[in-house]
Amino acid sequence: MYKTIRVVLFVACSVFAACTISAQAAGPENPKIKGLSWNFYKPIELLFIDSLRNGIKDSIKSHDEFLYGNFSQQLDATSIDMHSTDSLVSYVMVAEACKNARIYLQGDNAILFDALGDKMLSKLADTLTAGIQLGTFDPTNEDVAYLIRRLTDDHYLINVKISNLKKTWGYIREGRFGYVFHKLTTTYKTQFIKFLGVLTVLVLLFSFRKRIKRSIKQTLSKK
Amino acid sequence: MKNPLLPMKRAFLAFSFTSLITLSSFLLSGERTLPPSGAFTMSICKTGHGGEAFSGDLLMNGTKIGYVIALSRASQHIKAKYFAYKDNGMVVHDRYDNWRAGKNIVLISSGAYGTTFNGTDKPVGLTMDNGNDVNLNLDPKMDGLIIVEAVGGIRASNIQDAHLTYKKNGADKTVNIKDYYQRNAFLSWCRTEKATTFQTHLLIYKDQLKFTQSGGNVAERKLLVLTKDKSGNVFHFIVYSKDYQFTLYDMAYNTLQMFSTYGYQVIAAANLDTGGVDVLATSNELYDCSNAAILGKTNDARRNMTNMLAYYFE
Repeated sequence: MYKTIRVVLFVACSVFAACTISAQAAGPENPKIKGLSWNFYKPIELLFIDSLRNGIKDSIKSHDEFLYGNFSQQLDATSIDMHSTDSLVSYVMVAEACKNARIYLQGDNAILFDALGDKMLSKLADTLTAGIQLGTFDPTNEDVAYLIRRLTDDHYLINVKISNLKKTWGYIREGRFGYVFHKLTTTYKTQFIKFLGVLTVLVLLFSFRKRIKRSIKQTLSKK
Repeated sequence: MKNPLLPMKRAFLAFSFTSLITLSSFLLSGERTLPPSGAFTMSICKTGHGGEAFSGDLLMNGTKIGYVIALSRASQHIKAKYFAYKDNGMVVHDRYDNWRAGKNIVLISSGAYGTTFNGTDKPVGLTMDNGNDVNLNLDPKMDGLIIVEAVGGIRASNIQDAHLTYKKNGADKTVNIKDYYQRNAFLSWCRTEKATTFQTHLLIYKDQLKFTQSGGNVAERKLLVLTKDKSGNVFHFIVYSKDYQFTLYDMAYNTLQMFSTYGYQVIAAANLDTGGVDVLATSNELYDCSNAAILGKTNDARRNMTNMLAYYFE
């Protein structure tokens, strides 16, 4: 009976672990975020910009900078709704489509779209970075993790400062004990000495705890 | 009944206590991190690579605090190459190993900063590697943009000046890298010209310190200093305080003072990362003044380098 329960528990745990791993591998659960495709995509907005730039090409000398200025102002005035999956999906798709314009436009003709896509993705990366730093976004949340991965794939790095403790833990896991010791005895020497001081006091207290207890008892009983 | 574990417990406690006292006294007695007061000087002892590379000790008040390596760009035989990031999964050190075949290597050094956030090791700040996008997110906290030219030169630009100049179709083009449109015009040029560029902290620019405050963490510091001597010849220096720790301000201040004293004009000084991966190695023509090899703090971590600056003689 006991053996059967153990076998059932083992099988259940294995199935649960396999499901969790496969779910992680498959990507986020949110179907809309999951539906974002990495494939090349040319949305209606780009066709609109293309027609617009052709329309003003002859009338304005630096037409692309003029167009960029207008779109840029609109972008500045719009904040990204980080909690609406719909708006995030279309935002990322338009930005990536702009970046992909290099595929069908040659040389300087792609700069307008590059700049627009760059501004959009930089804005998203900066918003995400600030949110993670403030604790508004949890980088381990599936959707946030997916966005970070997607931005990284688009060459937009989310750079959040890592605490020294986490860095040290990373070095320990890599087995770089020599480097950890070097940092503790140089850069973080003061803090390390303080820590050792506290540890010494604790060890002393622990070593003589029985004597201390006894002397307290004796003092109390005398009273 | 007597506890059989008691002697072991006592021995353990005695050992812990002795270790703590020993470690504490070692730390308290060690003054290694406090540099001697005074000005930086350099003592050049070795010459190599056709008389165009020099190496020696970095001194402070006569005490050796690290190394100095000087590379002349006058004849342009010594050239720089920067590996900004891994390529097709090949780590930077493997890329370097493939590239170095048949080349007369002068030195290699770990380059600018990388991040370890979210398991990535990507370089921080705007980075292009040989015309390929690596990181397009400009870091507003770092105002140095370094361009490593295909011909082996290095140019440093102050992002705050909004005045980056590059040659396009034979003509000078000046852009403000903070403006998205102009930045993308520059990035488009990088892609066409297969240029390599990266961001780092600019410590000195045009003979001026880029700091307004002192303080901050102390650490070993390694600077890439682009200079001009009195005759106008360009020299690239690696100034490395391996044996003593400084704040960035103190390191930059002392470096600027040193070059001013020697009559060098500092075009720019950029910070090279000396964190978890601090690699420096020179050819067997360049040693320090006691004939010892010039080595970084963590040369065993070469394979972990996010990026690498190499100089070669051609």
